[in-house]
Amino acid sequence: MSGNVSTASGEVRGVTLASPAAHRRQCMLALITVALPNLLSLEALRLALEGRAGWIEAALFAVMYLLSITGATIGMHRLFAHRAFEAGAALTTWLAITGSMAAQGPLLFWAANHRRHHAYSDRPGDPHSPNLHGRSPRALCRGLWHAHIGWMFSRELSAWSVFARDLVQQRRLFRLHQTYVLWVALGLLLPALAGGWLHRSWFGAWQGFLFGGMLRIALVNHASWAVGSICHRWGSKPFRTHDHSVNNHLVALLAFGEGLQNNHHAFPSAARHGLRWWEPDPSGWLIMLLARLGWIWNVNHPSPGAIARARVEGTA
Amino acid sequence: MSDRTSSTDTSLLKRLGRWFKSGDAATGRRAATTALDVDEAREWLRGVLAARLELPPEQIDTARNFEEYGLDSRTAVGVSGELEEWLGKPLSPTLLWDCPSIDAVAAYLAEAPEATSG
Repeated sequence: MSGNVSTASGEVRGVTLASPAAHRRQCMLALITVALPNLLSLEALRLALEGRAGWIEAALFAVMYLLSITGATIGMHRLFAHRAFEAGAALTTWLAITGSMAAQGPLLFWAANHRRHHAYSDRPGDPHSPNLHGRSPRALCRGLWHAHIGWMFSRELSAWSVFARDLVQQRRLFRLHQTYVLWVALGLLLPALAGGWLHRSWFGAWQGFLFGGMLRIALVNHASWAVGSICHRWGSKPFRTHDHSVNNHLVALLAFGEGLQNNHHAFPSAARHGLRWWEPDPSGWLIMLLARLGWIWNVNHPSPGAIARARVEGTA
Repeated sequence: MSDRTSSTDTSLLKRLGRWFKSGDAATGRRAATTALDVDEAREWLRGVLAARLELPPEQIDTARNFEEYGLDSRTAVGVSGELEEWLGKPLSPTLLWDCPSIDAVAAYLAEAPEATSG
C-alpha cells in the first residue's frame, strides 16, 4: 500500500485506527494473551508451594523459556524487525516458530509495531511509551501500565505499507505469520507431552502445560514488556538518544539482552545489544556463537568510532 | 472466529492459517459467466468491505487506501480469501497490499485474464 497512510486526524504517519471489528478482535486476543498465562501461573505457583513441582517442571520451564525468549529476541526482534544479520531458510523458520511460541503476537504485527516504536520513540505515535501520560505520580503509573500491558488494547494499527513493506513480500514469513496460533499451541503442547511422558501421568501433562507453557509465557512476556515500560524509565543512559531509553541490567538479564535499551536505541540495527563485555546480552552472545558456526552472516555491528562518538562523555 | 469460507485447499497448515486470518462472512461463488468488468468487481468489493468495516456502502471511497479504513491484516487476508471464493480462482493472500484500494484491485482483476476466465 502507499506510504502516506495517516490517522483519522492526519497526525502520525503510518498509524491508523482499527475498524470496530478489528479492534474487538485485537482486544479479545490481547485479553487471552495477558489473562490466561498470568491466572494459570497462580496455579503453577500454588503447586510449587505445595511441593508438587520438581526438577522435571523446572527443566521444562527452563527449556521452553530459552526457546521462546531466543525466538523473540534473536528472531522477532533482531532478525525480522531490525535485519541485524542474515540467516538461511531453516534457521529463519526456526526463529519465527520459537518466536511465535512466546505469544507476543504474529510476526508482522511484532515487527511493524516495533519499527513504529523506533520511528516515534517516546513521542506521539510510539505504541508503548510510558512517558506520554503526564508528569504527576498518577500519570506516571498510568504510563507504566500502558507501556507494559495497556498498549495491546489500543485501537491504533501500525500500517504495514509503512512499517512492514519488505516482510509482506516474503511468502515464507507471511505464511509463518498466518500460522501464529498453531505455533503458540505447539509451545503449550510440547511441554505438556513431555511432562506427561516423563511422569507417565495425566497430572504430569498438566504440570508440564502449567510450568513449560503458561508460567513460561507469563514470565517471558513480563520480561519483554519490561523492556518497553521499565527500560524507558529506570536505568542508566550512556548514549545520547532522542528518547528516554535506558539500560537496565536486571531486565537485560531476564530479557536476554533487550534491557540494554539505551544501547539499542543508539544502534538499532546492531545485532548485539551489549557493547561492553560485562553488559548482560545472552542473545548477543548466542548470535556471536551462531556467526562463528557459520549459521548466520552479515552480522551488523557499529564501529568502535561510532560507539565512542555517540557515548555521553564521562560514562562507562 | 469461525471460518466459513470453504476452501479448495485442504492442507491443515493453510486451513489453520486461514482460520486465524480470515473469519467473518462469505458471499459465495460468482454466478455470472461473462468476463468480470471493473464496475462489477468494484461494487462487489465495496459491499464486502462495507460489511467488514460496519459502514454503509455509500461511505466507502473506492480510491482510498484500505489501511486508512482501519482494515487490519486479518480482515485484508479474509477479503482476498472471499474474493478467491467468489471468482473460483487462487489469489495472493497479500493482494490488498499489492493493490491498496478498491479501484486498484478491481483494475487488477479486470486486467488479469487468469482471474476472470472462471
